[in-house]
Amino acid sequence: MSTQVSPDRVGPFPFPKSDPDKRKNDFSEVKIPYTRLEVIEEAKRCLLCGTPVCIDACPVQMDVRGMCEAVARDDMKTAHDRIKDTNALLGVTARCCPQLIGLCEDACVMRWGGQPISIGMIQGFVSDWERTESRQPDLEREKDTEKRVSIVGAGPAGLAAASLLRRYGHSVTMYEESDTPGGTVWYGIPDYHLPKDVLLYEIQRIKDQNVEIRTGVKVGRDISLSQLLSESDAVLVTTGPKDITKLDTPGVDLKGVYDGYHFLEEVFVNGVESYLKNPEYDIGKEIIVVGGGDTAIDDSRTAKRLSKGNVTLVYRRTENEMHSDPIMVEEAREEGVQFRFLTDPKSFEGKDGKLDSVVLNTMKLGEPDSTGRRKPEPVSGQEFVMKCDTVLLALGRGPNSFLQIKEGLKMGKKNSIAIDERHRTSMAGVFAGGDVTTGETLVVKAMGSGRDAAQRIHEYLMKLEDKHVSLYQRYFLEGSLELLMKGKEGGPPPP
Amino acid sequence: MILRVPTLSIEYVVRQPDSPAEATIFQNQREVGRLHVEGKGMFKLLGNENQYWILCNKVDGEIRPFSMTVISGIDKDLAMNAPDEECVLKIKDNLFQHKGSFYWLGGIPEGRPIKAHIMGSKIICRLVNFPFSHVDDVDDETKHQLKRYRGIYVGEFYGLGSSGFHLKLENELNDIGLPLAASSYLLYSTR
Repeated sequence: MSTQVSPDRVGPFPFPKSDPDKRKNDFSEVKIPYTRLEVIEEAKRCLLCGTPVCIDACPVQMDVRGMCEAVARDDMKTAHDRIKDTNALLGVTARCCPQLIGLCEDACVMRWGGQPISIGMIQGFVSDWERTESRQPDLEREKDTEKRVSIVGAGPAGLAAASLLRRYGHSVTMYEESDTPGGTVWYGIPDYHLPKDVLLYEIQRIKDQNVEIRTGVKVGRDISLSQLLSESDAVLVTTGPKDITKLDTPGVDLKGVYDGYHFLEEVFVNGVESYLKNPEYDIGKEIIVVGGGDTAIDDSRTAKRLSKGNVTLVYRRTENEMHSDPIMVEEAREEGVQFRFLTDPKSFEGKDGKLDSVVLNTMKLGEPDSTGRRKPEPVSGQEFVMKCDTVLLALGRGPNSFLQIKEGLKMGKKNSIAIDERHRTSMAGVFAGGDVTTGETLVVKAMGSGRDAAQRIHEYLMKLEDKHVSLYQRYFLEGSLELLMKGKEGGPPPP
Repeated sequence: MILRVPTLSIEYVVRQPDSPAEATIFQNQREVGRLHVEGKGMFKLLGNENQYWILCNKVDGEIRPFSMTVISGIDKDLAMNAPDEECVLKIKDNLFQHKGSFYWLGGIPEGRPIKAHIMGSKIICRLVNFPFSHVDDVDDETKHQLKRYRGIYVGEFYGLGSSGFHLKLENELNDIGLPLAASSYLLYSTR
């Protein structure tokens, strides 16, 4: 095994991007894919570590090392088989994961002496190769168990769970409130990160596993949990995040002050082309976005593209305390989004019910709060006014509380569904996973939680609860170099 | 903003010789420990003066990523499910406690942006006002939201075993420095 740490990625760091002056005017993808030659050269930089910390850092234990080993040999099929084994949304996660922030690339040991392997770019190439050039057979399944599982919510957690449960041989029916499956991935992620055709393809591949998805059905309104339970052997709730954090700032009800999550949903729910034909929002030319997370950044970049005007993101702390992906912040800057830190709305002002300006507090940082970040406090007498046509609020989302309130499921923090270590809720036979149990996280973390819940349901249905082995533990015990070597010949084993 | 300049007083270097099943730990160029595989997911750390520790990748009986239990000088079978009071060090999902404080391996110091930590060393932070009293109490929501947290810089680590994995610490972690060097090497570097 090579122990030489080579310095840099094959392409620019963090990845090749389209010209910001062009991309700020449309919704085309920002990332420019590697060529086949580049992706092979990048994969060759992988040290094939005896301890693959990249896999440890992946919530779905994607076989990154096995992928790099195969891609370096120009064997895309083997690479695809290895990573598809645990990741049902390869193209989605390649594009949406902030790999450098707490995930695979952050863990990669190549960070010590140079740049980490560009795992997301390699994964994206392999998934695009399968989607556009060489469709691979459906994943292997165990024989039918005649057990039926209903899944409430067809977002990333539900889809990942459905794929795993089908591979165990259980019958799966999903119930989705929206007209299209995908959840936050469908309506909350702009097309410049994730083209809709990538997601649609991967949802179709899950349907091809004989997963039935009933859209336009809201469980708790159109059908009750107890009805679902009477038709199923187990129910999994993965209804995701929804309940937005609201401001009580004076003037927040003025026309022109909008919820930034709803804004993204309206723009992207049917693809941006559809929205552009009949835009719901008249956002004007002066837009202020309030928040410090990824949604605030996406609101800013989307508003910039739609308005061609001035977009300013205001955040009550400094850039150092922002929790958004710093690469997205940099991209937003490249596209002309302005940032005002240590700034927070004091009141929204307007005439005839319509917003025309915001009074903003200048903030200073005080003592650390429970996150260890210094707490922002207004500086008396330093308020100022900014004229604007639109304000978009992106202050965070908690779990979707509809079902647990409607059906009386026991709740935890922020009205999440309370679960035990086996993902069981307070209702017998009903399990929960994903963001509805934790609040909003990353797509891949929701998928990991959904898979863990699916594993628990499988053990419950097959009376294997006393023999529980977590998915990570199984990867650790069965994976490692043995799996890598086995995969060279016959591909990875079934789940 | 004035950033505190770290004064790291302790440095361990873990070097992996030819066998991936072994490593040697140095301090001030003097050998202070040897690490070798005891079994799958189990390692033995031998220090000077006949001290030894068992390092086990099971925490509370479960194998978890970025998690490790270190027990001082007891039988390896006991280490698999050792009660907390016998643990010298229990790292769970990148977090550990020592003398009542919480520490985060791979954290972000207060006053510095996330983007400063995309490459190079990983930082060890002491968490301030962390709202939990025990590492087992940290809920999933908090674990998922850790990138919002900031702490006080108390050390850093970097490097491959083949060329030298370095762990630098401030004095407050001195008494667990050797097991922490071995654990962080096993969890974050490669063999």
